[in-house]
Amino acid sequence: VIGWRLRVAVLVWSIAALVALLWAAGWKPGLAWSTEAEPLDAALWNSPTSELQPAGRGRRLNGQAADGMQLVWLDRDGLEAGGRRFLWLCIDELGPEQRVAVAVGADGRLHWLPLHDTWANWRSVDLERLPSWRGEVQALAVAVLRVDYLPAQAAPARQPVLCGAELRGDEFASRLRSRWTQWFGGRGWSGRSINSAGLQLGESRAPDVLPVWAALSALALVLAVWVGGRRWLMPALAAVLLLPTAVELGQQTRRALAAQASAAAVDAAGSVLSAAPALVSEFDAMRPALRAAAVKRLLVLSSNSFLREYPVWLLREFNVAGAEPDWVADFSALQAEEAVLLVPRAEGWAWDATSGMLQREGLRLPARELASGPGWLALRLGAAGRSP
Amino acid sequence: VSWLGLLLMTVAGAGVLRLGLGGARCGARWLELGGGFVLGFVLLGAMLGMLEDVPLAALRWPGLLGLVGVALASGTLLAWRTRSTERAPRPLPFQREGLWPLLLLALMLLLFAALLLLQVWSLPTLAWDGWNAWLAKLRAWVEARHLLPAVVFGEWLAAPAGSTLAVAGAAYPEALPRALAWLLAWHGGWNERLAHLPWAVLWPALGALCYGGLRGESVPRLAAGLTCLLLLSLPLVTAHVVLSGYADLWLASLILLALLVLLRFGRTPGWGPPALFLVCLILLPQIKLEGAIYALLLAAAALLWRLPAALRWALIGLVALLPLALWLGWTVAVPAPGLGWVMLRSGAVELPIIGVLELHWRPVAGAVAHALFVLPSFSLLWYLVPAVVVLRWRRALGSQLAPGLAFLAGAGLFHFLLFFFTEASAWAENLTSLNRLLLHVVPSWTVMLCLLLAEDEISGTQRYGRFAKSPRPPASA
Repeated sequence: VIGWRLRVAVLVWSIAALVALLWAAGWKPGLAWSTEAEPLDAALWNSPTSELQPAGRGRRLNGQAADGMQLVWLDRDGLEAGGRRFLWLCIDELGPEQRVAVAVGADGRLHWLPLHDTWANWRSVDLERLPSWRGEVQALAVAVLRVDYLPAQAAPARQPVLCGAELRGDEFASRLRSRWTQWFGGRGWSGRSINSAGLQLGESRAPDVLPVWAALSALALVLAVWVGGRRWLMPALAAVLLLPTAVELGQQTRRALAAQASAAAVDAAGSVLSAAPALVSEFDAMRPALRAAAVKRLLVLSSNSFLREYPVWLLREFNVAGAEPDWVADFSALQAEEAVLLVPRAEGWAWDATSGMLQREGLRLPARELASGPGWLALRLGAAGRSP
Repeated sequence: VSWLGLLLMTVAGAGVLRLGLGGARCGARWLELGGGFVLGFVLLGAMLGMLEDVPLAALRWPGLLGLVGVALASGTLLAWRTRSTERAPRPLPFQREGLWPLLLLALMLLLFAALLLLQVWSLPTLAWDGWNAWLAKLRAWVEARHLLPAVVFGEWLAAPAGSTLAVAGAAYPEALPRALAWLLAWHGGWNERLAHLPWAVLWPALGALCYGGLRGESVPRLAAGLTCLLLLSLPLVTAHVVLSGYADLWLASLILLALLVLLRFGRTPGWGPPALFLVCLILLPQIKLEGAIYALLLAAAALLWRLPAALRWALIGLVALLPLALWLGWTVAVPAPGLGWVMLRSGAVELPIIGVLELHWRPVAGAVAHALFVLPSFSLLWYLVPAVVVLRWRRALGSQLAPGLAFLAGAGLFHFLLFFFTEASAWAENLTSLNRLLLHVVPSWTVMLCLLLAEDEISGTQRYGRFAKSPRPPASA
């Protein structure tokens, strides 16, 4: 009895799994399996960051920008988005610490779409995940980036190969591949990860695999009891629970390889990993001046919670605190104490050397510059005009 | 020195556990190993809480003496104590449970351990948002080489320079940063890898605690090992290990230990389990403020199931009438261990340290359902919980598992009120606090699910079966 029941159960479950997969991958009646591909000619690719060397039918990316990025323009003549939903990319010889993103030029700027990690060379990218993929777009680019906790100067010099790129219309093969990568692809850590949902990869409109697997698991349990009675329930439950565990093992493998490669790179370069490597190098450059100034109190002022909290972590050897500018009702005590302010230029802070005043939105404070970097200013309050 | 320190914490904690639970049960060594580390670590932090405003180096010897003292005291009391009358059920030989599946499970656990350790060792500290509270305080102390009072920005600004340290989570409990400070005090300065190390040890410790706890309830090795693997491989559990620095997994582990002790009430004779339970309740608020609420719920669950059935249900009915009392304008004061009095009144709840939370309905059901059932953080756990509870609640209410389920129901109610009626709903929408608070009960739910599913197999044979006020001898012994 078990024999035929088992065969029926396997058949029923397989059909259900196929239907669920078709539904979750977005199949609809009339949707073609495959449409004609529109290859993006490698001869027309160009890169502002790397030298493109012929490698088979693709190009090898030799060299990188100062921030570690390798950017390739696939098409800059203007593309009509309509009828072209999927970009197929073939990228080979990526390092474990490297990530891929696609960029679309629209409204005079680039709109980024970070991609999940995958073991496969070819990946299908659903460009409709980018709201800017509509009408005529100004450019289409692919970028190879390092994980953002690895300093650019320590990133190993890699030469990935862009082995192919083509645009395709709305077709089931592309939908399936794109969603498969979203379901099972890697969600690497970012330096600013505050949850494990992988939201740094952007919102996905594809149905997630977990509810689908839950439904298929429930069916598998019912069928297992039907075939073998209650004694089959526990082994079946173990089997359905172990599949997500196997997926998680793959996820951890990718993350561990990225972390290990990054750690090896910074060890070789005499650098460190951090949530924001640019801040580390900027503050490292400022540190001697801050030490020499015998800072009694250091205030990091920013409206951005990350830029308020992370510099405090990095500069903990000082008596430091982070605050929003509004939190300081009265700067007079700080001026009397000659406290040091650390402020981000991007938030409108500016220091006028002539008047010796630090200014921002109606706030004017007498201050002297102690150190400055590309993003930050360190100033001692209440000492306008004095030379260092 | 660091490894020796961690070993000493484990020995001290294991001594306390042996004293409380006895060592005769199956899986007792695993439970002592895992639970001992968690208990020892938090206990050390709580003991060091008595030292205020001292140089970092001054932590070394008091901490060491404290741990050695706890270990010696436990050992002495164990030697003097009357031998437990409880006898362990004889475990099945390995071959009867299938050696190969067990080996496969062990291999998967080892693989996970290697991958996580590699990341803990390599990745930098994520020091912002909620992750900022615990390691930030530690680093401030280590860099200052002095355990200066940690205060909020306004107080820091008003205080003389150098007399205080400004920390984002200044009011948060200090047991974890103090225990870590003790480790770093021996090292002499800041060391990120050393600061992360206890999280790498917490992962196997939680596994050993889970495995030992289940084996102690006579769950077969394979089922216990599988449960352990499923718990340890949950994406949110691995995230809290790899992105070291947050306190939720510690709280979740101690809640699991308290729950396992609660399940032993009435079966392990003597004052050991109640005393150990009390220690866990006292330590919970030392990790995170929410620990006070869980301690209250655990205490309520323990007390309720010691009462005669009529009185128990009368009390539950009284609590169910609470919304009516609040609606009538009454103010109800509820004690929260380690936190103070929680004042409930119509439309608001007043919490010590945290402040007043305005209560009204917030439409976050979609975000919560997305976090529970769609995103991968908890795998299939929240699908399994309602299914198993619906199938087994009738049997469970009549068994030794009832107080554990009552606690978990209470914790669920707490989370529901917090996220659907208070400003914490904002954290449900951005998936930060929601995931972290749910994580607190994830190990307990995982263990409880295994026990509920294994109830048929183990009740009446090796476990004591249905709940009885006075313990019965084990049937199979």
